[in-house]
Amino acid sequence: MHAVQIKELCKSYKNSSFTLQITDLSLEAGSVFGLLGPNGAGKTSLLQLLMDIVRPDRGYIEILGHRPFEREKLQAKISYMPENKNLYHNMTVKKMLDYASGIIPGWDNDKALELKNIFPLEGKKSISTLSYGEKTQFYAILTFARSADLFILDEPTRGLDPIMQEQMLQLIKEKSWQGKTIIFSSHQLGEIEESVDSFAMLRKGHMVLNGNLDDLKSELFLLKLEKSKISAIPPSTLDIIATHHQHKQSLILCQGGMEARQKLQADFAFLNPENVNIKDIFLLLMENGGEEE
Amino acid sequence: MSLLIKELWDLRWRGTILLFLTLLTGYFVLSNYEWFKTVADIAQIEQGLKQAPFMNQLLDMETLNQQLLELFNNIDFYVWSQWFGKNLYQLILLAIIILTFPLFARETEQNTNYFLLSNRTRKQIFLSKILASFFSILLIIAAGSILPVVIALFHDFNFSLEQALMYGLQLSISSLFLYSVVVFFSIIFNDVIKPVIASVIVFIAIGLMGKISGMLYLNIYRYMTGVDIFFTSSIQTTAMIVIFILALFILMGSWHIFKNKDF
Repeated sequence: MHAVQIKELCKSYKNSSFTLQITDLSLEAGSVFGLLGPNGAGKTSLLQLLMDIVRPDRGYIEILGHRPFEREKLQAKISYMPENKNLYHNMTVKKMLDYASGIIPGWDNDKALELKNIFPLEGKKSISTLSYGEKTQFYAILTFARSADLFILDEPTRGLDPIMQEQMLQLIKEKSWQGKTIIFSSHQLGEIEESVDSFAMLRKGHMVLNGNLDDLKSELFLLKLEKSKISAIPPSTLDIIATHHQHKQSLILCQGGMEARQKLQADFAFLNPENVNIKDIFLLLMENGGEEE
Repeated sequence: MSLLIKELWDLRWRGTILLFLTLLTGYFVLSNYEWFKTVADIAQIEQGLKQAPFMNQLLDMETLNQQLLELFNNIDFYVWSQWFGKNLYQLILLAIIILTFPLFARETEQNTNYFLLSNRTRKQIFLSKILASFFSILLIIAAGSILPVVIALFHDFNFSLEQALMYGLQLSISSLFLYSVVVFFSIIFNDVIKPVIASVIVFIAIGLMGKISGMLYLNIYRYMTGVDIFFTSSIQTTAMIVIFILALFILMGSWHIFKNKDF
């Protein structure tokens, strides 16, 4: 069952040349999905489209069996942590929690108390005096102290110290173990690799890569070779996704399973296909442009 | 704390100060009628009337002086001219702007709308904000309208409750129109300064339009002062219906924009 389905989605903004275009994206219910991309790639826009905070120009979005604008049916099922974690400056932490408990559907006071122990914030402290990291911690309480089937988290670890980052990832894992669907964006490639089942990479509003993490890792490999040797390999031999040249060396991200790798090594003894990690894929696709949808 | 209570909580200081200011001003104006009569320079007013030839053409000087003295001794005239027709409607104009301009714009400016939009429907957000803010304005209107009746209980004069209620109703409908204009600006602008500036410009423009000959009916302030009720003892029904429909039309337009707005 799909938790999210997107088809032929297009969103542009007034006074901006940026356009988000997603041809096809599906997320399995119960999975953890990571959204990667440099600043301005369209990650926040995509999450805001799912939350009906912005409306698409065209295209189809289905989320937990409903369209995003059917908020009445969805508001008890989705928990959202926005990129901008501002809350009411005229409130204290305690007052804001009291307010949140009144308006957040499915609020669980016991869970909130439990989370307050993990993210300790003084109740009397004014929201206006909280640092960005503290606001993120506070938003974590608001996001996880409720029942929901889908958690949409826009940069949930931004501004957090390593200990709090770990706490946040632990919460994400807990929700995943409970069978909840989680979508989160991040610039932390390590935490994405550690936490997600599948991921997508966005660049300039286009999805350049999408799939199951393990599948992609087994389907992709990296070649490191001297620039001078590239000409020795016929182009038709490799299914190149991205290349990056630095000094005398070239990095080539290729598609192909174990068989393709073995054949390549047999044909060209100087080649040594290496396994890839998300960081390799990200750097190659983002620096080089990569293949667009 | 529900969404509606939170909106009222947000308005608590501004609303209380405006209500207190209205009651305090009203108290000073209405309880000092005798003092006003002693400071009003009748002789100077008579001299002024002598120099107004059009007045002399309508009435002879003796009748004019007599009617002037009658008006000065009429508490109704004092209440309508000095409270309803001068201080109260100006305080309500202030209240409309102060209680309404940040309603939606502040949420957008401070990015707190993400919290609201992810937990409540746009309809719930819109309705709670509209209800809370207009309720606060209505409360100030009600207090200001009834005040002459209440103060009359403690002084040596009477004021008709019926007239006070009629005025309150007319002021509420006229205020709803101006309120809808400020709501509109609060939704279309993404910061809190522009709705204030735009509202003040529109409020001034409406006043200026009403001064153009043949366009007096456009002057909403005429209805807010209640001058017609004083002279005819009845509400301007047609004008009120038109103004009410226009206000609803602007509010519906504002809702349409809010419903489809990208945040």
